[in-house]
Amino acid sequence: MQDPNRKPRRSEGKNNRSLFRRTIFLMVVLGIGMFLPLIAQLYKLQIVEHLEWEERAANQQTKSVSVAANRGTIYDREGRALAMSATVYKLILSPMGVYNAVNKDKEKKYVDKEGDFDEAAYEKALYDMRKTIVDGIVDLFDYDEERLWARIERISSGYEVLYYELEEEDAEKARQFISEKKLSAGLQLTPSSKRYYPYSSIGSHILGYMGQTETSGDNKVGKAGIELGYEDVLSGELGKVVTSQNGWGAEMLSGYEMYFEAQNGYDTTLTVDERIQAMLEQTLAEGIETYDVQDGAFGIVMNPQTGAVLAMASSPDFDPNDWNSILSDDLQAEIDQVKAEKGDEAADAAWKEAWETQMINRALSEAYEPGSVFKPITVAMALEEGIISMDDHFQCGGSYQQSGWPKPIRCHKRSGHGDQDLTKAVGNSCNVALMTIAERMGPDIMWKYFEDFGLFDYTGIDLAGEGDEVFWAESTFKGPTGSQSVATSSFGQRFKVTPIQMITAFAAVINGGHLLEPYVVQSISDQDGNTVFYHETQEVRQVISESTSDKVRGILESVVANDSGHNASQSGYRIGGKTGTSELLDRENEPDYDKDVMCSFMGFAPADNPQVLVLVVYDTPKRATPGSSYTANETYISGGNIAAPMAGALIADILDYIGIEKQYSGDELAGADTPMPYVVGRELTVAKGALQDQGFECRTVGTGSIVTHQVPSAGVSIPGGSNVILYLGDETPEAQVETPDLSGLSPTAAKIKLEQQGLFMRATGVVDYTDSSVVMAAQSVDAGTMVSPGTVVEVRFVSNIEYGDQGGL
Amino acid sequence: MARKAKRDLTIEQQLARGPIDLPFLALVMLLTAIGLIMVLSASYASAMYNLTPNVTNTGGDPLYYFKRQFGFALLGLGAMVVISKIDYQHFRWMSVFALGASIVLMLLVFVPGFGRSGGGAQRWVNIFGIRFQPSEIAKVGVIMFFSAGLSKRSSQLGPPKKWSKRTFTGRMAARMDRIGLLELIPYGVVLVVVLGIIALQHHMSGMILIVVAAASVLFASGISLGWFAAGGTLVAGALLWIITKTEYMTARIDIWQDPFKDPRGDGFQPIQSMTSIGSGGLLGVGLGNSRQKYLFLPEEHNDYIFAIVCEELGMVGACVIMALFALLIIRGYWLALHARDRFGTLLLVGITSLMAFQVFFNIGVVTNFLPPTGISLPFFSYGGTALAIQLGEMGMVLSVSRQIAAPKAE
Repeated sequence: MQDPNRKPRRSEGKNNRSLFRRTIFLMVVLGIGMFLPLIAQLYKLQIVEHLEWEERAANQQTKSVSVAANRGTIYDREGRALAMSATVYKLILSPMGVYNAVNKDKEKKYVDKEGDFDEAAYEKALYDMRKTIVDGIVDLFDYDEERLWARIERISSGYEVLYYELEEEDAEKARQFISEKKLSAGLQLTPSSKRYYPYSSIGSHILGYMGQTETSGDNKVGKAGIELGYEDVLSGELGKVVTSQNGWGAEMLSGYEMYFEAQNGYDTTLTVDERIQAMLEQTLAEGIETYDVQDGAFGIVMNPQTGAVLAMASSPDFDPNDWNSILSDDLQAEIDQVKAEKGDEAADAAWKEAWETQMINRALSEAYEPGSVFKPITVAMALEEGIISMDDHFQCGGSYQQSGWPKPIRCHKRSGHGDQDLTKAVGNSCNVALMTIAERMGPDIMWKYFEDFGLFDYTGIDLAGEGDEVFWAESTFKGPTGSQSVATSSFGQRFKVTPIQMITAFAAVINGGHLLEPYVVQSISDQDGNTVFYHETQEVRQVISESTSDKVRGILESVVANDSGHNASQSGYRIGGKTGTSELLDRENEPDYDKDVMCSFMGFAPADNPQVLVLVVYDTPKRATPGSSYTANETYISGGNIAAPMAGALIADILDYIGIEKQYSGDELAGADTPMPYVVGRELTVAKGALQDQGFECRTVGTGSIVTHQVPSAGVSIPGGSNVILYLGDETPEAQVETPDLSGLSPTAAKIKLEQQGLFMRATGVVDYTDSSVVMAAQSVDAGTMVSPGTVVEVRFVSNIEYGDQGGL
Repeated sequence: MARKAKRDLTIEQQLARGPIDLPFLALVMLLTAIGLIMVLSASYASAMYNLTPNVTNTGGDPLYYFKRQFGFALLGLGAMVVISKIDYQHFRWMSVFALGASIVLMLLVFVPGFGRSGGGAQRWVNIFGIRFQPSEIAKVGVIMFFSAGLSKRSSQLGPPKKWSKRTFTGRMAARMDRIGLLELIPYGVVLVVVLGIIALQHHMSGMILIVVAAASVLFASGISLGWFAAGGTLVAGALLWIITKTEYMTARIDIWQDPFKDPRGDGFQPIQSMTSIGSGGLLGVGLGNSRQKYLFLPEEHNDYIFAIVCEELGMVGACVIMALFALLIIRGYWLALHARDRFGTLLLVGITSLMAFQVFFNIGVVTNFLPPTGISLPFFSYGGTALAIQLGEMGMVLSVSRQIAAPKAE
């Protein structure tokens, strides 16, 4: 056992067996076992999860480049292009392209005399190429040189957009520059498109504007109005080119390319008429200017028979070509003032507020208290339900004591309207009468009609951003504490509806009871001109009967002809309407609150067959002194005095424009325009007879029996009843006469004063030669202007009615 | 030098002229050829785009990497032939020089002028324009040195050394001798020195490979399994500690578990790798048709070349290649088992195990089965000197194979 020689031998055998066993072990583990988990892992990735990874790979390996679709044009109803797209160009710099162009084969290109690579020459070539580009771009477009150098040195970037919207002229310059200097490896022009609005701010709130959103990337999409609401229709479908790309995003030339053609957007034709829209905006602007309106204005013109919106405006507005700046000079002045007084931060906040103010379409998005304009709706439902009749009389003692309410609710005329029939009660805009009607109806009927008139629903107009109404809860309105709400709602106070809801409901009242869905897109057509959509009138429901509607129309015509809406009357047109002056009690806590009111007028014409329905609202005309009832230009602040004359003139302009013939009543006919006959060379008596036949009066200048000159000349149309001048003997008309100042004159006085000068008057507005409260409001030719004799001066008259139509507690 | 006639040779010399193992050679040639083709396919794009002009300026030549790899493959095959002709008994004494030389070279890495940093770590050396990682040589050096030393183990055991029982050190030495620790000390010292230098180069993957290669040789040589258990426990404990206690490693492990936590950062490489593999499916997109190589998958011709293999050749192709590797490994062990002596066996075990682990770690990492380490795939990954050294190692295997006795005819 102690034999030293045995141990190693035995040990060697044992060792060799162990060596054998362990090597076999390694062979099995490393040669076979080890591969099993790897194969399992491959199976998992390549078989089980294959589709997921393949999709992932496809996503990153292919690039789809959009092919721009031409965005559709927006036309007004006469085919004027309100929004159109034009091709512009993106100028893209590829710093990588520049680098690679020089770097490629640099060992062969930049060699010194011995044929070795010349580093300095290479560096210089790279610098030269970059400098050519930088100098060229700076020279052409005045790009910031330092910034451009920084960008061109980002060699890992292949896509630096220098300009997004180069117009054709500039693009051509860039194109020439690129081809002259052979820079196509580094500079590229790709077409994109830009939206233009040829009429700038006209209709901006309807059209909307284009901008980028979080998800749209480089593309601009509609962000308001039609552009937003009809985005899908207008934009068409982007085409795409799917190409394979490498890990740096560069396109690869290979057979992977797929092409999907772009689908151009459709053109839309609006119901809006650019001319009417301009008139409406002009009316708003004029009213704001004349009455120093503090908080803007808004208005809608609608065809009450179809629900087509002819115009819709909200002031202040914006220019969709440049929507990111403040359009209104007044707003900008305010911001500048804030900046001067409170510094930049306050100015930024003011800017933001101003911007939001100009972007909101109040006619669509902001609920307001309609005030007395709402009264016809209350009357219509009561008539429809047979609760009142046209012969009913209402007593107004100046206030209305509601049962169970401590304080009586005032009528705006404290002394009371006395005894009035229904027509007169509406004409007087008598709150007491309306509250009486409401109490007779009760909340259940009223609520049902509010619902039927669509006051609790969106109107469904095809514009994005319709606002929400503010109403009592049904349980409150109908509950024991609701009687006051019932009372005030009868004259349109203490609840809010959007202007579009209001005008839609009003349209139902006057169009025979049909509640219609208002709309702005009349038709949609593809690029080949095929109409793919035509808007048919959508009736939501019949709310009141034809006969009730007819009665209300009669009442409203009387309101304009005889009562509170008188200032809206236009000779030759039968206009119906209702004024409104809504108190804005919810602004009571605002710092500059001064009995803020909205002066509004809702009018339609012709009264027997309404073709246009106009709502005009001015938010808070400035009071001459705090608490005063008058503006600085001495107009009593009410819808009847401020909104009605503006709206009346607007209605006349629109009717004129759309070609509705004037219908003169007997009285008006005398004042209607008549062409002047040719009487020169005739005997005076003959001439007088001819003139009389035409309804003219005449005076003579000079002596003689033969007419030698006449003012005006033959064929000129002047208002009937005008006093024309006949010259006898050697007398000749003066070459120029001075236009007199007609301020404060009654129609009769103004006519006489003008005719003394050989001028003629065409009276507009409230032409009542007997009412002493009617005074001149504006003359078309300024006083002092020299004009030819025979010129017709248009003079607008208003009636300053010393009561409003407000409700009050 | 004229070739001597067979009769003039000693038996030793006659043995060294035996036939080389043809199956092994065939597998090596096949894998080298396939590897070259895959380098061509995988590197084509990045060479064409001249991805890293400041590191390797390809000048936009799509064949740039392939040409170099091809050149080194020829060089490596030459080296393989030459080495296969050397009587492997000479490797015993060469082992000392190989180890010494590799240590010197590894130290040269830190000498300015020779050293080159690449990939964020200082582990390259540049001699006569040839740029390579000395740790590649260290791997062979360690295997040779360990095999040479451990092959004499049984004879060394001879008569037990007499340890003085009087001194404390003597008693300690006697105890260590008894439990087999003493004989391990020289190998431990060599390992610690080599690993220490590689650790200075921050070359984690190099350390792993040297440890596993050395461990395989030690394992095969019959070292008590207790030591492996102890060493394994120690390494596992250390790894666990590193993984849970160091933020860097914890983050890496997190990313490994779910690369989508940081898809643009650290998760990018594994996600792109798996995307390549996964999109290949069963049959692949076809040789040369990889889309991922177009600048999506980083390192596509280096450590991650197998992902491109999987993408282009599919699971079928990948399994065929893994089968070739498996055959090569099994053949390597088979040759080891039949080697003429313990030295031959241990040398082949070391070389084969090293290659096997490299394959395992590389494919494991590429498929995200293992957390990322930078280990290249033998015969496939781009890297001229590494390929040449790899082929040189194969030459050593062939050299050993020459001396295997022909099977007796039955």
